[in-house]
Amino acid sequence: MNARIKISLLLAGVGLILAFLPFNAAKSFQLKPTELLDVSSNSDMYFSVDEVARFVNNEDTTIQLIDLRSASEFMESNIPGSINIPFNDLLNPSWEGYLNQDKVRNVYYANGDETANMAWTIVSGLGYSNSFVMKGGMNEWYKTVMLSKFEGERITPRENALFENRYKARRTFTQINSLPDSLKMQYLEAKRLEESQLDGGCE
Amino acid sequence: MKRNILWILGALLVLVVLVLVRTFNTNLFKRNVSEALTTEMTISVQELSELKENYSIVELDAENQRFPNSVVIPFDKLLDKDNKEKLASIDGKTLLYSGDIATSSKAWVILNQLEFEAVYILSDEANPEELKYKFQPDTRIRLE
Repeated sequence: MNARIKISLLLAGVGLILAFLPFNAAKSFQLKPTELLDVSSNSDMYFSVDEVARFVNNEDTTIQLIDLRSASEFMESNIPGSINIPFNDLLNPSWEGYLNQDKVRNVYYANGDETANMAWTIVSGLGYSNSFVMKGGMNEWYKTVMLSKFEGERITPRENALFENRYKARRTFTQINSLPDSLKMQYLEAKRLEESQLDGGCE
Repeated sequence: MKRNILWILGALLVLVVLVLVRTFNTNLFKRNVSEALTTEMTISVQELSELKENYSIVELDAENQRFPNSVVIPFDKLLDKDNKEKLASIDGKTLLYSGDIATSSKAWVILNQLEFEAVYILSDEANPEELKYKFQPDTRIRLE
């Protein structure tokens, strides 16, 4: 057999092996299943709505709220400071800079607990650290921050601080979300620009 | 020339071994992540009576069993060898249930990515992601 035929056979062999490789170019989880199960079993992945209200009131720049709902739901009302990454667009490469980073803690939320926990498991499986979930989602935010009232006779200092925190976040939420859509878009665009500059990125 | 061919064949053999090890290693995720975004995954408790296919309910809260005849697998033991075998042997749909849907959602993603088929989240609500409140704008608000 001459050398040319031998090399052709070898190349064909390599081609066959590559053809049967079980992985394609698409992403798969980086963590091992048992590692992902371990971090998923840990309740440290949650922030309560009261904690998120405090982040909003303090304009905490170490926190990035990520709203996983559709663009129309996001435009109707969202927690001030949020960016909108709809769940079905989560793996769009243009979001990777927001999702995979170590400077900011990402807090995911949707209306309930299903979508946000799925998103959290996906990004954690991909190996993105600093990911958290706002427990209870927007339904819990409305119930606790927007609608709860103090109904006792005497308020303790702790309760007073808790309700002040909620009232302040409620006022900011109502102010931002009551803006006409055009102004809300301007506000969101300004925030996005501010974040990309802080992150050292460009428009 | 013959020596070179042997080297190349050796390298190919190593590659084949690596591929086989990775293919049959059950302790790795292999599925494309985008599968977790596009699959229909929720069935409500109200829909159970309409289900025509076989199904088994897997309860992830060992202490709060709700459904009789369900398979109980505590979430933190989900990937134990026995439990994976139990899940693999289920005939029909596998419905993951937990009092807190957060737990069944996380379990669903893990099992989906481990290539378990026909796995669903069993939800107490018809639509667990429905917003139950309507925002009331304050029309007096002006930009400062």
